[in-house]
Amino acid sequence: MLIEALQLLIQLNGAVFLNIANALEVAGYIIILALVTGLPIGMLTGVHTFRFRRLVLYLLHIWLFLPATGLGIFISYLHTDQFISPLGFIFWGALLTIPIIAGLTADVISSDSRATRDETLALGASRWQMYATMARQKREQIYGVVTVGIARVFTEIGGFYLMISFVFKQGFPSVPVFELSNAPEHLAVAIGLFLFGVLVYSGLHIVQFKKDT
Amino acid sequence: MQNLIEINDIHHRVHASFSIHIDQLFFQDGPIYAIAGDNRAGKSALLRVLALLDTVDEGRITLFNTEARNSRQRTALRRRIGFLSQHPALFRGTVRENIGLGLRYRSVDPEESVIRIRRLLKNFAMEKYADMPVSQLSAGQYQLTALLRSLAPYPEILLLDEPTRQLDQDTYNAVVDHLKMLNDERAVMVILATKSRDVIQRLANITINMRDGKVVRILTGEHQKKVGNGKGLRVS
Repeated sequence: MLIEALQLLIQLNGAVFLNIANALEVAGYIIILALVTGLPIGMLTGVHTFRFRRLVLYLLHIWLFLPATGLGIFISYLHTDQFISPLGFIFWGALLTIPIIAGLTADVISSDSRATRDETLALGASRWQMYATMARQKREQIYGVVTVGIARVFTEIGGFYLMISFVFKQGFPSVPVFELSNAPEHLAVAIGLFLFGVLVYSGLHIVQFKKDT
Repeated sequence: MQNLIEINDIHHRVHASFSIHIDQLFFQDGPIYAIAGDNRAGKSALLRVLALLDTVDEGRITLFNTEARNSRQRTALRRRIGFLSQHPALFRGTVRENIGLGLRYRSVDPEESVIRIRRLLKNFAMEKYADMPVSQLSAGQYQLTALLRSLAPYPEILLLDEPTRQLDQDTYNAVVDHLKMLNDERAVMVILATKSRDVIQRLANITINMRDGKVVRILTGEHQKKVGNGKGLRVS
């Protein structure tokens, strides 16, 4: 199966790359949604002390370890067909990724947040200047958090392709439906390999960036 | 002389086993104030409250006749204050970048910022370390950089917690002279928390003794010299 999958990639199989493009598009939306939501939640929870902060952090970490299958079982009791769509998948993927971004960002920021926060405020920083300074101080750790979030998205997309190819025997509504004779599992493996390659490249790029800075 | 800082009946719980409680305390422009006392006297806690980093549980603190009621007002007041904590934290970057941070927060003109930073570095013989990453500084240089960072924005009030810690003798003398100059020539109010008798004797016009979170004694004038042996006058 691996060899067939690699062959699909080497031959630049149109269906493979069409699905990859779809997958990356969906992944991109998930990542953007997760970052836009998760980073502010993580930053605020990490910086500020408030009454139920510990509870919020606890819930974020519980949510973080929520397995995709657990969420899938929950979703299966809802309108399942609405989730087998790009929009549904974006929502589902973001639900799984937001706690990673938020929870790990909060952990990273809170490690020495009090001292950094006080120093910036004492220097006359406004609230937004304080957030910017703290984010800059922890930028490599935050890049690491974002990488972990992206990895989660790609693994979920890979798993989703396996699920829909084996269980539903179909692709996304916007791409051609695959016939059984096309052995869709090879397609899923090919897509997974490609996305893994993107992930490794991104990780290496971030490591190089860290070295340069 | 006007009251730049007024403390009225404040109670602040620092943590479960320690709080500070001050009935009335006024800081007028003119003198240099030293807050003295042993460990856990409440010196640092009082400075943090004056720097508006901690909010009191009861009572009022006014700075420049203003009581900060929201974050915007607090930010505006903090921009008129220079604060040095007992264990300052510099940020990643160079000495120059750290000293200029407060100026960036205040959107000071870049050319003016360069001039101020250069002047401070020169006054304290730190020019050759200007572009050194702060991670490579010695303990004394680190402390000095943090102090210069608080001086760069030209604050009207300086709140300094043990500013001469870890400094070598020459730098120590330069810092003491500079603080005296700021107070004499630029009318900067200086309030420093210190255990150093030498700093008190060389700088302070008024010494506020604290113990267990309360002000127990205020010494002025020539009686400053009696701080060392624990005797002093109770000023009503």
